[in-house]
Amino acid sequence: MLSAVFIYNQKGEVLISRLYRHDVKRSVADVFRVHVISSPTSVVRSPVTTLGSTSFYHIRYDNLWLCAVTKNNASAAMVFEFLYRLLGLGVSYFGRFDEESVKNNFVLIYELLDEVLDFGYPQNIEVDTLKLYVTTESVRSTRALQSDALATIPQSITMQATGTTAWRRNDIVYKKNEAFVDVIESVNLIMSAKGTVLRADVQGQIVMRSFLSGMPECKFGLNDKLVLDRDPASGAAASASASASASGSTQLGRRQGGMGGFGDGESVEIADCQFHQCVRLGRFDTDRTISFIPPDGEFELMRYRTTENVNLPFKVLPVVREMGKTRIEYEVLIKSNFSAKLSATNMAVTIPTPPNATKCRIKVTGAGAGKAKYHPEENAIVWRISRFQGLQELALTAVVDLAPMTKPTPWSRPPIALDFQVLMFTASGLLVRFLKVFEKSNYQSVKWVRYMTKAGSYEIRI
Amino acid sequence: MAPMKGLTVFIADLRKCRSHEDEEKRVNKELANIRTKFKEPSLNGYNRKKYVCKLVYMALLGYEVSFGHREAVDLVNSTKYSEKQIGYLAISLLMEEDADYGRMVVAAMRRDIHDTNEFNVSLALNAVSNICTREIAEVLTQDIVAQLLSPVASMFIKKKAALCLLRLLRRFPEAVNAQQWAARVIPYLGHRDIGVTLSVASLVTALAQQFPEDTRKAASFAVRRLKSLVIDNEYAAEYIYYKVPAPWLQIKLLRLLQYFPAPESPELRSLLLSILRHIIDVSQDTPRELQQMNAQYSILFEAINLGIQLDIDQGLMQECAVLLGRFITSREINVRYLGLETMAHLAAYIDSLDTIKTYQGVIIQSLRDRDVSVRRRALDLLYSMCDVSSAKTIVSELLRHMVVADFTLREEMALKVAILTEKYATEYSWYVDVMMRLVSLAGDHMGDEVWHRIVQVILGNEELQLYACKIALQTLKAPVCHESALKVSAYVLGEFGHLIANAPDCAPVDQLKALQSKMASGSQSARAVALTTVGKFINLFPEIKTLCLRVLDRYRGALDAELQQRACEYYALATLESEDLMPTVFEEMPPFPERRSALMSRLLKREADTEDQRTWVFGGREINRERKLQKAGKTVEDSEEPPVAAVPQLLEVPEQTRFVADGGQTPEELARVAKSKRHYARLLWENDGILYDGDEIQVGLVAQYKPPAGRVGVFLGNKSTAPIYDISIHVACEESSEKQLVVQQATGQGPLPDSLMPLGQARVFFDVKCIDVFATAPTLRIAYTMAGAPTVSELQMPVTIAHFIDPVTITVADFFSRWKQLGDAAIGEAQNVLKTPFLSTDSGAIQWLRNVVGGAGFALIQGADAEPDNIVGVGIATTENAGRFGCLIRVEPKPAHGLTRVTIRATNPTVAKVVAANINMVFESK
Repeated sequence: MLSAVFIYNQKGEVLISRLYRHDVKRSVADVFRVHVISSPTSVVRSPVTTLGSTSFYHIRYDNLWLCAVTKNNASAAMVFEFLYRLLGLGVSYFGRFDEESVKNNFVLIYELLDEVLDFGYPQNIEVDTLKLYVTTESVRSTRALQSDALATIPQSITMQATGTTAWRRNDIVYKKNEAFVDVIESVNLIMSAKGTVLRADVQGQIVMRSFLSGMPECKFGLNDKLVLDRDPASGAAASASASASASGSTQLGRRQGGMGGFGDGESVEIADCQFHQCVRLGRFDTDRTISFIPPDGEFELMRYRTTENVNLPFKVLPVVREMGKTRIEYEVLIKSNFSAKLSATNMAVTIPTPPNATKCRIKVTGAGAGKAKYHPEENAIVWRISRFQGLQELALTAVVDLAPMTKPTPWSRPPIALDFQVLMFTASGLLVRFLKVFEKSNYQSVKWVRYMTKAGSYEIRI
Repeated sequence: MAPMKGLTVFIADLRKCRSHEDEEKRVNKELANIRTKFKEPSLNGYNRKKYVCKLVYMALLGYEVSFGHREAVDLVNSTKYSEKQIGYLAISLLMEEDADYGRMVVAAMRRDIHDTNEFNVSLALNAVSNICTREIAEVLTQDIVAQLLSPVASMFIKKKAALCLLRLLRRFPEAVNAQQWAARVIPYLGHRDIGVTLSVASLVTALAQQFPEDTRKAASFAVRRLKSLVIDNEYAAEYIYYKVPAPWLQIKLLRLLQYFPAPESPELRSLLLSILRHIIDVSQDTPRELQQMNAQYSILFEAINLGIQLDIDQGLMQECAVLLGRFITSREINVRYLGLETMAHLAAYIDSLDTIKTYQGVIIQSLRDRDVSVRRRALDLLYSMCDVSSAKTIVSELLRHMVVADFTLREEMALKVAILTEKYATEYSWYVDVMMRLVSLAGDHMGDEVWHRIVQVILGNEELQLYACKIALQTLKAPVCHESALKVSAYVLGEFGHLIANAPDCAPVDQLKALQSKMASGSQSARAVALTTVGKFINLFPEIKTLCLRVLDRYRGALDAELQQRACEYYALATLESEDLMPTVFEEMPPFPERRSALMSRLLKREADTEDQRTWVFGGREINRERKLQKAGKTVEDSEEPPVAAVPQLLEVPEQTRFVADGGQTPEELARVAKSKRHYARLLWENDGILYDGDEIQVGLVAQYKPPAGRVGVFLGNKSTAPIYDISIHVACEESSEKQLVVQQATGQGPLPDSLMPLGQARVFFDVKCIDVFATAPTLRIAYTMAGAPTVSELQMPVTIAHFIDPVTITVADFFSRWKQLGDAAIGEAQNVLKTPFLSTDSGAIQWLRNVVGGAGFALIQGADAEPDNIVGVGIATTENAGRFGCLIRVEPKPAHGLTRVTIRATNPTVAKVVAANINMVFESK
């Protein structure tokens, strides 16, 4: 089990040092700093470093290093799960979890560390539960505490921590009951120079923000191929009811009109589902229905992956000609492959240049074609397009002059990389069919769904 | 150097970078900037210098710099010192061996070497030493030599040039053509400037190691220079180092002299002796200051080394020995170390070891010195000074010390003990005792060579075997037995266990039990050896077969694959129904072929190679003497030890056996040659007979002649006990007689069999046709493979022009008229007077002579000669194209004198000559 937890800043200075056992000294923090953080040799670092009989497990986030130390043969998966939970805790408490926020909240962090680990064993690490008694507000007077909190809070804390729904208090009340569902997908692609797809997959994430009163029971439906194929009639009925209820405006609301890219009734093959702990896995295993009592606030409901039938949002046609040893000509044509109603934002195309490039003459054509610039520090031309409409075509032509090399070495021709965000589009074709909320008081609730596709590693070879 | 702001800013930027990625980005940016700057046509010298500096800095940080070399060369060509300096710096750091701009660099260097500005020359010389490519060595050596020899160049340049040449010489000894200029450099040893002399001395030392012949003259220069330093005290005051004049130069010169043999001229010799004596005398008084002591002792030790190497004055040597004796008892560790090392050198050369032996006690004491390097040197010295008389003491001391010695030292110690014991053993028991003790004591620290060698020695010496067996059994019965000892004992018992089987307590059962008791605790490899021994026991002692089988049976299930395989195979062999295989497989091992001891090679391999070659090696005087002789250009007669076989015997080229040709050396071979000569001679006048009779094969010949054609059958018989394979029989004619004689394999006969079983026979017929007169007999080539070894035998085939002679009967009168006719014409006459001592002893000799002449194809003419014993004959040689040649023979035996005169007259000189030679050979081999 864990002997100590340290938090370092980027330079390796210790920000937080909390020891849980006596088998390590405080100076062990220096060992990690010397051997891992400021070690010049290890550019690619293993997340687990064992020095002597001591193991250091670390993760990096923003400009922080979170490091757990153990002398035992602790389960690495458990340690990392703890570290990421700790990270989540920090994010939910301070909004951003970086050096600045750590420095501003020393006391609170030590308080949290005292709660989440006891003699090195992880304890309750649920944000909602912790927020009950590790509060960010100023401490109220003892009298006020005596009057209400002292009497009720400890009991409720115990109840909740030991109950079946540790992630939710039962006394939440909202005037307006709302639930937001965000489907965020990142699409990965490797495409050959000739346009053949070598690898394409989508990593998806469904994030929910619930502002619902009481203990609501939610049911969630996707256009999962297994569900729809198993019972086509019921699937069609369900989708019909979903569309009907959507038109009835209470069931599903859309912040933007029109879904581009996928037709109705299409089903998606979802693999590698991972759920938040609130989801009842037993029911999912038997009939693939996702039912849960949501925690209050934001949480990640599920993660998934699809590899079949990926809708590629962009098609890139690169032509790169090496004209002798002194010049390279580029012609890069990009086509968007989604509905004209939608648009991609924050698009950046990185077109690599040889390491001996000297001068680049770049021209971009098309409406709103953005700006392209040679960045010598990255050995690439970076083309930024603030807004890329659907079913549009943009082109870039560039001539790059090369300096003579003493020892001519062929250029490795690294791939062109794309970065973008497309709203209301899912590369996998995934669709939220329904979200039903049942509560004892039977209140009306408003639900919102938002879709977004981002570029993961979207690469086209040249 | 003026500061360059851009460079300082850039370095500061890089230092500020927090992470590696930031730094890489900054470098990439700078590289792009420099690339564009270098493209601009108007780049001034300062900027070029600055950017090249930046590139150098990036290269030093480990980034790849693939351009800018040309700009660096431009800088080298600049006239400004600072730019030139940066240019050379960049080139020596960035340039690769095979760069295409190398030529430009070389041209620039050459120009600078010949420059009048000596700073430029120095820069160029420095760069040459730093870069030192083959091209530079080939092109610039002459220019650098010119600088060294130039009368106008300053001392400073001369020094640099000498050191630069040294670097080139070490790197590319074959490219600098040193023999050309070596002789011209040598006189600089006598240069008045000590700095120049010192640099040149280093250069000449390197030259002397590679071209001892061309640098011989250096010795006299070195001696004279030493004299001026040591005896005449000619040196500038600034070269005195703590009262010692120029110690580095002295040492260098003394070392240089060690590479040459003692000078021949008596004057030089006495001069050298007086220098050495002077050095030794000066160092008699111990100096007080440490630095002075160091300097003086270094010179002294080098002088002693030189004295030893020259080996000219025994008195001096003895004096040295006494001096060294004082050093090895010194309190200073360094002095002790040097003393021991030098004494080892001395021991390796001096004729009488008596002086050194007086210090034996001290040296043995040094084995226990506090300092490990001193202990090591003491070991070396003991090894060097060992001889027959002191071997026992030294070996026993070493063995005693082995237990407490460092682990690092033990392996070497064990090796040396093993070598000394083998070399100086006078009693067998002593050798076996010592070796067994050695194995038990130091088994963990020595390689397999040692125990392999023990087994080899025991197998090679019959007298050793009985005693070795006894000791082996004792070792096995001892409570503790080291693994290597177990291996040796097991091996020895397996081979010679039967020798002691009748002694008390040594019965086969006891041997097996002793082996078994130790087997369980041995390692895998030791157990494997032991299993083989058990297998051999089955063969040696059939009475304990069941016991042995039980042991093997237990190991048949061993986890180790090697053990399991051995056990299974031996078990199967032993339980085989036929009993013949067992004795063959487990036959006693033959003695090992005597090769250079593996121990010795191992020990010599340990001597690490350093920059300067050593002039001597540790160990016996023999090795050093050999080296010395080799250096002097004499070949060392290597009668006792055949050189180490470079290739295993299986790979050797097929053995050529040319029996008819002379050149055999051993008596055995001579006898064989004589025997085959006799066979050959017999076939000159008989048609059937044996041509070759060897250990493995026998070759017989059957011939029938119908001039000008004939048929010869070759019979090949296998005399050995093993089959022979891949037989091929060919006849090859000499080039000179290729057109005159045609030999073809006869048609209509089956192919040769693939293999020939023992006592089997194969035959081939050849058709021969005489086209023209020919002089040399064809060669019969028989190739075959026996027991995996390919063999080729080449035999001369008895087919001569004389075989194509048919007898012709003519009248006596005709004979004499033709005899006279041929004699007058003097076309072809051959006359020999041969020694035939057998005529007087053998009564049938005359008849034999008649048979020979008749058999050679002549018709004897009775009563032609007045002397009844004289033989006259007539024959006609027939060729296909050149026609027929008459041939007359007259043999006149003189039994009283033991001589015979043979006269042959023929119409063709070659015919006469060949017939005469044939008769000659027949008579000789009678």
